[in-house]
Amino acid sequence: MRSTVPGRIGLALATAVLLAWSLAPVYWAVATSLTAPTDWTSVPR
Amino acid sequence: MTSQAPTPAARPTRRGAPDAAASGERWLGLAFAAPVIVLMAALVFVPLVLTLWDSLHRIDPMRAGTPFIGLRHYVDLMADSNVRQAWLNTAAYVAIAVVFETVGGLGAALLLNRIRIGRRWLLAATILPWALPPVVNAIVWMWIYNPSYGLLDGALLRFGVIAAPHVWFNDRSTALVLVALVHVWRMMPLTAVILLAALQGIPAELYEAARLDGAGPIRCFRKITLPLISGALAIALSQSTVFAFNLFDEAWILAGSSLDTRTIVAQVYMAAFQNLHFSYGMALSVLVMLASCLVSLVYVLRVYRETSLG
Repeated sequence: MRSTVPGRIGLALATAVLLAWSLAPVYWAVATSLTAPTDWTSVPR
Repeated sequence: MTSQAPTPAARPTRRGAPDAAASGERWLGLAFAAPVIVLMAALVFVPLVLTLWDSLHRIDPMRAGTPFIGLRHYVDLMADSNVRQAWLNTAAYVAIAVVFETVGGLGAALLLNRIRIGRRWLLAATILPWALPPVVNAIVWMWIYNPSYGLLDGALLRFGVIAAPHVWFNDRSTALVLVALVHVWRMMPLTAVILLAALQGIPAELYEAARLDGAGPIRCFRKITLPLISGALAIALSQSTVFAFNLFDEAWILAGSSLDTRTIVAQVYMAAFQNLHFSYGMALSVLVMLASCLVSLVYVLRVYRETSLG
């Protein structure tokens, strides 16, 4: 079946949402675990 | 005409050999099924009957003897306000989990079934939350919900949705939704995989024929996809209901023994292993099992009726 342009954009958006839903918490957990605890609250000067 | 067909009784037969063969096959079938029957009896039925029997006694390590008390525990459970609150919380978890897992899982399955490029990578990413142990999952989300350093508060503050960090678990309804969300995040991939397997079994010719007849995407979905995945949908609904009924790890780690988010399984744990009222906990666990079976049975019977050829 041939996809229309809006259909392709919809598929791409849905894929992005699914990826973000599945990976964002894991990515954030990994990124936080690699951050020093003192950096969590530090304010850039 | 006086001739008649010979009756079975009058017909000469040699029934000995076929009967022996049928009997042999029956015994062979029983022999093959025996290990499963023995395992199920040892691991499921015997503990179930023992639990049921013990729930009719008073088993309390702080009190001497184990007298038979009949249905007293079940009567007490009806009047226990903590149990009532835990039932309400569990019902809320089940409702949220079943709706979001089914809708989200169906959407993910349709998407995975549709895309051609990078499907296996997207499938791997989708399954990832399901591969995490529940405890790890709960700890990840505990930090996401943290009011000081959490991702949720950080994102909402950045976009101006909230003006100050918010303690989400101070409010019962928010806490219930957030605990349920963690469970949905972990279990939705299972629903998606079950439905994806069913979607991949639908012949493409059916859709082509429907399109030739002028059916649009929504009509194809309603008239072809939904009926042909109804069996898998029933399985997905049953498993999401049962897993939501058995929710424990996420609620316990995120909110501890708080009555606002306490599940019925957490109530069983507290009754049996914290308050040491073993038989009271057993009575409650029997009720949980019955409720879970009843809700699942509704889906299974409904789908069986719809798909049965008889």
